[in-house]
Amino acid sequence: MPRALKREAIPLTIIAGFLGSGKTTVLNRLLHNPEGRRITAIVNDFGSLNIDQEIIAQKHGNQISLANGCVCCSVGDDLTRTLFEVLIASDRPDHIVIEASGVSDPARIAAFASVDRELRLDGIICCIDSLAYERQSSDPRLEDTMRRQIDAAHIFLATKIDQLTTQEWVNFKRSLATKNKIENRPLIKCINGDVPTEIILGFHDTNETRDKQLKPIDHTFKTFSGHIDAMPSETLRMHIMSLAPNLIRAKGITQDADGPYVFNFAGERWAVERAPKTIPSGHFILIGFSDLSVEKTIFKPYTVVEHQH
Amino acid sequence: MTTIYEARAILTMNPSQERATHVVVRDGRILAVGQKEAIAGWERDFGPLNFNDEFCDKIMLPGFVEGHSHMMEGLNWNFVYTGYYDREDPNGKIWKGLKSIEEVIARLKEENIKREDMSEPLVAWGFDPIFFGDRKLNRQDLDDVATDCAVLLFHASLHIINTNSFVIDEVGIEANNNSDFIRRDAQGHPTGEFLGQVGMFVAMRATGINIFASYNDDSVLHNFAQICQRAGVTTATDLANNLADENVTALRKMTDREDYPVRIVAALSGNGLEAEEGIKRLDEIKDQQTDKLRMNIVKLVADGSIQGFSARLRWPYYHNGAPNGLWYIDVDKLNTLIHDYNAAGVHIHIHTNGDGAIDGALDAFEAAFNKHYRPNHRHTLQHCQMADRAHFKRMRELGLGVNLFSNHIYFWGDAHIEATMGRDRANRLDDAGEALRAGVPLAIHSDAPVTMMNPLFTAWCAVNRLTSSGNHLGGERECISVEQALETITLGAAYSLKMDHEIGSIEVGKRADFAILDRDPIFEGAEKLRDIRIHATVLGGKVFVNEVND
Repeated sequence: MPRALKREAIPLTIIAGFLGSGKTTVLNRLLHNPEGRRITAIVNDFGSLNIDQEIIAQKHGNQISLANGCVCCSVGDDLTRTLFEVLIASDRPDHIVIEASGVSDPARIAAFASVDRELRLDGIICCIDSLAYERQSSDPRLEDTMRRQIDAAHIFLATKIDQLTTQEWVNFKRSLATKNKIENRPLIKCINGDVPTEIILGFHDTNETRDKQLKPIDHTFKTFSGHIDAMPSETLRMHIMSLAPNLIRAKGITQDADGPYVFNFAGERWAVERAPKTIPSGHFILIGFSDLSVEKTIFKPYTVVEHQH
Repeated sequence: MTTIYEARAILTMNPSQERATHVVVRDGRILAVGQKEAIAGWERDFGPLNFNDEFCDKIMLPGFVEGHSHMMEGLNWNFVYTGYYDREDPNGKIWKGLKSIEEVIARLKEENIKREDMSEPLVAWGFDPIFFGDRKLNRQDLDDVATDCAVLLFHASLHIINTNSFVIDEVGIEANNNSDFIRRDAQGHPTGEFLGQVGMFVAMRATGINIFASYNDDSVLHNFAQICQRAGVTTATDLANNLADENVTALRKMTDREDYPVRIVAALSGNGLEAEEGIKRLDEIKDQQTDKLRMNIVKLVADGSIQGFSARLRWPYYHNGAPNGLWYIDVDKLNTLIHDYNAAGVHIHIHTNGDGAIDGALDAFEAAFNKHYRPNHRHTLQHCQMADRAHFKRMRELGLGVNLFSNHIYFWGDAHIEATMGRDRANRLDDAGEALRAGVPLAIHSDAPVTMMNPLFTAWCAVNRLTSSGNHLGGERECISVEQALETITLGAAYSLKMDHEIGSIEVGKRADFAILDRDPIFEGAEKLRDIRIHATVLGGKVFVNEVND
């Protein structure tokens, strides 16, 4: 039974973290602010999601459709089957977000994207409850699960930081870095799930990187968009990596000797894929912390949006 | 109609009358049990009796109760068996165990050409490469079987799958990815082996169908019942079913048939639900229950399997240094679920393989009982393979029962010595002896389709504690006697399902559910327990004779 698998890959973002780490709050905010994307979220449980009644268009079985085009599926106890059903549905989403269960190793879920050309791993976001971190990371029943979630993640959201003193925040960061190899992976402060959609999901499509007039998206972030010359992807990767640790995400399209390619960067994850020759190439968009600077780099911005704290 | 059955011996599991020769059955229930001398009195008291002497040279036991099995056993027989050990199918055909990869490929080729629609996926199960040393099965092996359809070879554990190149080309495997779940050769090409959930996902995506969606087909329930009947089982569990409307309908449709030879106890799969939802669902379907279908248990899963290195162990973890298995459910959520179900009076069975998971479950029950102690709760730890003496004592204190996975001793005992836990911990694997000494209500099980359903074989494992290579796990202390084992596969399992007042022994008032054996297990003794053939079963007074087919 041959099937057409020639369609464009759907980006897959995994939101990991313990029960109570704030995944649901982040998801809830995403679904209310999808920024024009039709997101399908695969969640553990509708009940805790707390979606505003006025944006619910339809409820059907294990699925809730929202007026803004997003869909929410509850996973029951079979993530594999739920994801399979999302992928074979006639109505394909722009982006799939999986809320990992609090005990799962997100690397296992990420492997789905490696065995399916219709899926592309966008990134693994790990929520860490900054208040509970010290206790959880020293509990022998929990610490190895937490370590595996942290190892697999590309971007960290430190949640509940509004309840920490400055000293506690410093202690939390130190403890996290001592117990794990965080290296250049970004750690983002997150209060009530309030993180720009671009940080969670990356940029929507390559066209927006050229045309969209960006608005200031958050007071602690900075975005650049502009032109980029043709170059081999490995060269580009080196340039992108040189922007660490202040770069959080990058997306763009350029070309090498074989034609155009799309690149995606999330935290530390770098991915390239071939693009159709018809797509205009030569642009990029970056988002990073307010210290991000592209001076004296190959990235020539024609738009910089910044809002100093 | 009142029927009197004569047997060479009836092993009743009733301590007041351990042996009898005659049993009177009316309306599917046992009216009287005794010796030949009582017949005259029975005829006087109960009116004309219809004599049935078809079992007069057989041994009658209470019908066996399989306290941990899965309906998937019935589904698997729609696919090709490729396991290492001989296994009997629903029709009584013995599929020879395959002792090399070449034999596996030969069987697949043989079954492939018999198929009507060659474009359908060829699905096989039971593959267990642990016995084949360094020789790994790869995509080229399966390409020898077929290149124009998907070939899907599920391992015995169901957590690993091998595929042919057709599958790899269909789904599109990402290059240069070092995922632990996609096996690659030295050149970095996928070998066709996928681990964990990814394997099932690949199978679905390559074929475009959910192979396991046919769970409710009549053929699946039929196969399952045949497997039970051939093993002497008259009550079997489907221990984790989502009990959606279509599942309940399918279960009712088949079990309502008078010729359906087994009672089914289907447990609600609880890991993906909030307790509130589970309690509501069990209440909604409560009135759909019948004498032959029970749906009054919630099944939770705390960890994975020991041989798959996904069980949750406590220090010093796995013998070979493999990373510890993760919880299958948040510890906080586990505590909440056990508390809430217990408070609502729902009967809980929980899968706990590793000693770490056992600790977690015991903590959760203790906390729950501090809030609400329910007499006669019958909550049961399933598998519970690594429990030590302290665990069993704690179970007794908490009033918990245990259903041990005794078949593991034979099938994976050697692997447990070598790789998973080492000789010292393996000595007390599935320690039925200690459970009984501690006074913990005991059952033993097959977890079919993980291993074959055959309670006499399971009893043999608990009595002899021999691995497949002939190693003994532990000494006398861990073994139980033949008498104890027989009680465990009847009354013991019935107790764990809260059914011991109606099944599990041959006593007045109970259901007329019998297993009819060719030979007497007490006289045959410990060594030959597994060789005894099941001639027939009786369910509610209806006889189901097994055809001889070998």
